[in-house]
Amino acid sequence: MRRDPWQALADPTRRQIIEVLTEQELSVNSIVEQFDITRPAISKQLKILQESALIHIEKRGRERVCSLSLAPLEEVFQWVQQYENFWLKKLDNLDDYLNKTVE
Amino acid sequence: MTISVENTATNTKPQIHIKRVYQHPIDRVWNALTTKEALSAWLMETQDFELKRGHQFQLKTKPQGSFDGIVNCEITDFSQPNMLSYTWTATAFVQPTTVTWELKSLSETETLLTLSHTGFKGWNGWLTRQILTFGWKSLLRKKLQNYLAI
Repeated sequence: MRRDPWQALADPTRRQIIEVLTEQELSVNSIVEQFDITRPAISKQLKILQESALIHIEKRGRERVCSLSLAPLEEVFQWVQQYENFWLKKLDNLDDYLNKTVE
Repeated sequence: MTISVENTATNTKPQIHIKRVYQHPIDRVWNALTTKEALSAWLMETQDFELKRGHQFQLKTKPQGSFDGIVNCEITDFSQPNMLSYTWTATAFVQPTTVTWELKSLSETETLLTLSHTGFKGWNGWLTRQILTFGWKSLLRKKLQNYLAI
């Protein structure tokens, strides 16, 4: 099953899981330890993230190790111009403000 | 007005650096960056801005999605009338970033402004920045628009 990554990210717990995985890859056990939620609940969230292709879960010995997979969100990088627009717009506002309030 | 934007789309540590020249004396630009009334007029509404090291203040805009519209800031450093730096934290799960304003007087009527927004942490920073500026709802809306455009 393939899920929409953006929908997967709409949940705060899943965003937090993503956030801890930005630092390092982690076993399912250590993710469970970091969150105040039951193991089955974490497993469910991890499954959704995996189905959205946002994370990989790999079996290593007796551990299952989770790591981030960035491909689905590559389009975010294409939007950088738009993010910069926030500040560009504000700097335009500043210019308008300075021009309007000439002493 | 001259504009230059350093597009950092390919960096893993994204940063924003924008330079602009304003046709106004440095003190006027400085005042616009450091008074409540001016900031509320051109940036975001603020009731509690004060130019003091360690002072915490809030900037407010309309809530969007899970972004409650509040940016929490703390002044980390300033040097009148050339430099002002504060932390910039939007919503609880987001790591603080840093906004720095630098002013350089080019002549009596021209001031070079450099805005830096840094401290975005890797990949997560991209989302952070997106949420900070647009909010989740609008993110999803854009995503939807992309679908509709196909």
